[in-house]
Amino acid sequence: MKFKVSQEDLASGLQLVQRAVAARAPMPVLAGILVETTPEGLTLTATDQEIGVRVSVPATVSDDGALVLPTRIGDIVRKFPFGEVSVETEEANNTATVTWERSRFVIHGFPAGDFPPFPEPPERKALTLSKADLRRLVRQTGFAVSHDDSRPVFTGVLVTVEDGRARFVATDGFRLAVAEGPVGPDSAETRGDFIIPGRALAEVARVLGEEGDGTVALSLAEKRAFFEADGQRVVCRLIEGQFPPYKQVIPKQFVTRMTCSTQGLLDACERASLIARDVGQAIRLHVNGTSLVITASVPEVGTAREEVPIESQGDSLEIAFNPRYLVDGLKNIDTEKLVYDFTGPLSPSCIRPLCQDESAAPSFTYVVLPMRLIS
Amino acid sequence: MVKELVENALDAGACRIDVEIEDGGLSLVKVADDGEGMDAADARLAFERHATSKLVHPDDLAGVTTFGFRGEALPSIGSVSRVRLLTGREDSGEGTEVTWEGGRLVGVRPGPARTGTVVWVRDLFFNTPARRRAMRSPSAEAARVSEVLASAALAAPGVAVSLTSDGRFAWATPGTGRVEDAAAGVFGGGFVRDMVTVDRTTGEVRVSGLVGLPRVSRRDGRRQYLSCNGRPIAPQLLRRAVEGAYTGLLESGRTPVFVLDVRLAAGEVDVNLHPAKTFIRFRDHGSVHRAVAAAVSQALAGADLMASGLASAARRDGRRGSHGLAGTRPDFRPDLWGPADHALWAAATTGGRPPGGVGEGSTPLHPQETTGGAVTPEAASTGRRPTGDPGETVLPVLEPLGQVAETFIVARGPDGLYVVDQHAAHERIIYERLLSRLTGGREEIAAGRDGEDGPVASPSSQILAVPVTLDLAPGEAEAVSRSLGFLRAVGFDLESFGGRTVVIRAVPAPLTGVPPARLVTDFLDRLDEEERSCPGPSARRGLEVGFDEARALRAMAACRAALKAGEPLSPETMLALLQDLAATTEPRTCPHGRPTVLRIGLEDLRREFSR
Repeated sequence: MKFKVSQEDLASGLQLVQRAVAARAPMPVLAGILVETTPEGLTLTATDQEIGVRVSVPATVSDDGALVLPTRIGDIVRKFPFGEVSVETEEANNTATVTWERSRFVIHGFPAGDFPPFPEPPERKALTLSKADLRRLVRQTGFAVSHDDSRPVFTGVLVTVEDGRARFVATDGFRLAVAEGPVGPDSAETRGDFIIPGRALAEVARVLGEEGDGTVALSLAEKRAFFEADGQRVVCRLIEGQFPPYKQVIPKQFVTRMTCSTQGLLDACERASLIARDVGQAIRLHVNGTSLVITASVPEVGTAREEVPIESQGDSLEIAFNPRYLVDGLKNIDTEKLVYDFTGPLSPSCIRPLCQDESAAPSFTYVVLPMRLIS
Repeated sequence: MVKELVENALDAGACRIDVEIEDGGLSLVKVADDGEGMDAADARLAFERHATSKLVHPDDLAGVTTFGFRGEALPSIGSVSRVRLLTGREDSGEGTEVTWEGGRLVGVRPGPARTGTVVWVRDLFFNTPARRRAMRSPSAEAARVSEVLASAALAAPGVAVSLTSDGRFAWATPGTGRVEDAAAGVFGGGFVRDMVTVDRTTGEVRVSGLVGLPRVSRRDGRRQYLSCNGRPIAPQLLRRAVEGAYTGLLESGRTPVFVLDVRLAAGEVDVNLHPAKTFIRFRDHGSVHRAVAAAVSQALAGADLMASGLASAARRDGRRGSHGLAGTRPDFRPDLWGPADHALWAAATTGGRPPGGVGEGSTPLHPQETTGGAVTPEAASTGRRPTGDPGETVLPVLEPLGQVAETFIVARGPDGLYVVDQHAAHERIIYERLLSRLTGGREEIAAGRDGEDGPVASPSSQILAVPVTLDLAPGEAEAVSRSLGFLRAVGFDLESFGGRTVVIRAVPAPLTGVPPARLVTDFLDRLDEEERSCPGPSARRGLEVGFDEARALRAMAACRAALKAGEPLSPETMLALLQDLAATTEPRTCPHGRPTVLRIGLEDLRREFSR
């Protein structure tokens, strides 16, 4: 194998796949990155057998071949200044010679045949999404997954397609985030619980990058989910199990409804939470007519009082929350104003963006459960 | 069998019991006592089943204080071995000798006059070869005999007990009535030097004995001896009460060493749960549990857990005899100035006991050793350190002199030189700060525990979006429903759907970081069979698990936030650190149980410089 590639492209490609390299690999070959030439150019692949990432890098290939190289190759390439890097391998003794100007490294690797094959996606695509929507769906749900491995289902995001919309759902048992987005015309309805590990979705968002248009195809097989966009692929194992019946948690009515400025409420909550920031401490919300008063009081720290102008319907209400849960949700409301529905001081409350077009279904729903305080 | 014979000897009021075994007891077990002995008629009856001379009136049954009363031991032994019994009473002119073989009376004849009883058991299981093959190796059996005899000897320190195995002296207790002496006899003087004396009466329950300093803790759970009214019982009955008192003092996975006796009215205990009588039932397990926790906490709070390297060296020297010169102590220097290993730290914690023989070895010299006054019963019974003004009782005000290797603070105190590990000390400070912020739950639970089931203020709880359904074992489901009121009071919202399913709807807010199902299952794990019968106090303690987990999280946070070794500190920082450390409830160890402070006392300095 012999190819030439720009230092920048190779370094960023290696960085993308490096996160999928097994940290404590059972097989030494999994601690490496598969570098191979394909008809599309150069591809880099890494997997820890839970998540696999494959990216293609523009390169000038003069000889085809494949070799598994240790992650150190990334460290070396990153240290080269801009310029052209040439790589030449000797498959017979599993070495790669990396040359940049007058630097020359000979790296020992593993034969490509030892690397597990990258799973091929099924023929049928489940859905296509715009990159922008996928990024948003991941952002609006990823924060709510649980990190408690004792309940694996909660560490993932449920992905469904219903009525031409993709829906991502995540919960850690205390709050629930539901985000929706339009799917492309060739998308099929999904049946069953497809639960994608939160960690894999974070990788997907990273591989897709912060910018860029285009679409992402998501294929769902029995045990795996495949993401593909512009030659970049992420495959992950699905989490087995049944997702909790989340629709029951979303309130259908309200006893108190308020609308207010998203930023105003977020800022006030964040400031109040500076007083009550240890675990188990709460901030209180008092909804009354046109004013929302937020208070926090911790004996040895001090007190805070914030007031936010609101419009409200229904009863006045007093309710307490873990401030972190509230702030997490508010940060993901992308509209200027929000609607906040309460069903009582000890029952679910629900935050939604306020859409200009009243008829449009909300693209994000955040349900958070209150705390019961000593009176 | 040794246990039965020794118990007989004890019931006979013996002051001295000498046990000899050969081949681990398979060839010979000889138990000689100087108890009251038996007359000829009793001696002959001794091997008949259900004959007992230990009950004089039928009423004695209700308050059985003797070890046995059913009359089963000697007949059983007599049926599987060759037994010779020689006994005599003080008032009779001559003794009696009875011989049994394989369950048959071989002969009764007058024997030499002596007071007491000697039993020779030869060729155990000679007539039941299958049973004989089931015996372990002689050395394993000998170890077992030693262990059983040790627990009897520790439970009865007033009796001089000795063990000889295959003609070699193994150990002996002096029979002074002091458990320290008995323990020194069994395990050697070094063992006792690392123990703290416990003696405290809570209500009707007196708890006395010895508990080990953290440094002599073990990984294998051994060297735990428990007795009730002088009867050895299974240590696991109250092991958790003892371990609770060590919270924050032991590294995880280590178990404390203890020799404890619990005394209470005989009617408060039911000993006949198990033929071996090592598992007994307390009528009020909760109060016994609390009494033990309180007693051990008090003892530990008073103990000088601080390190003192010089003192330890001096003591070690003394142990070897005072004729040694400084230059001839081969292990003196390495121990003293070597890396601050555990041995160095811990040797110090002997609480100021002087070196030397067993008897004087346990004289408390340090006033601190027996200081218990500062400990309120509440604090003690919850296994917490005293919170009153611990700085005065535990760590004096220190004046920093400088830093060594940018890792240790050297400070001057009123009674000597102190060396403080800056990382460990800062960890302790941060940990306690974080703990105090575990508001609501912690304090209320602590208060509730001692409030004798009084109303418990409800701490805040976080309601779950997705209730957690938990399937329990039948016994567990019952335990939960019995503890439901308590669990609600501390912030759980649990609903029992009948049968074995429990739904968790809310958890105590300070514990939201811990998986809800684990909170409940851990809670149940701590309610063992015995304790399920009295859910009150143990239920409260069960919840400590959740706090243990929350505490562990905080200990980790404290470790990350604490000053690292190798950080230079200004004098002001050092002073502040030492003041904060003195104000903590347990300045002597970091949250992981490692030492924070090493003390080199003035007396040690004087001795080292021969002043």
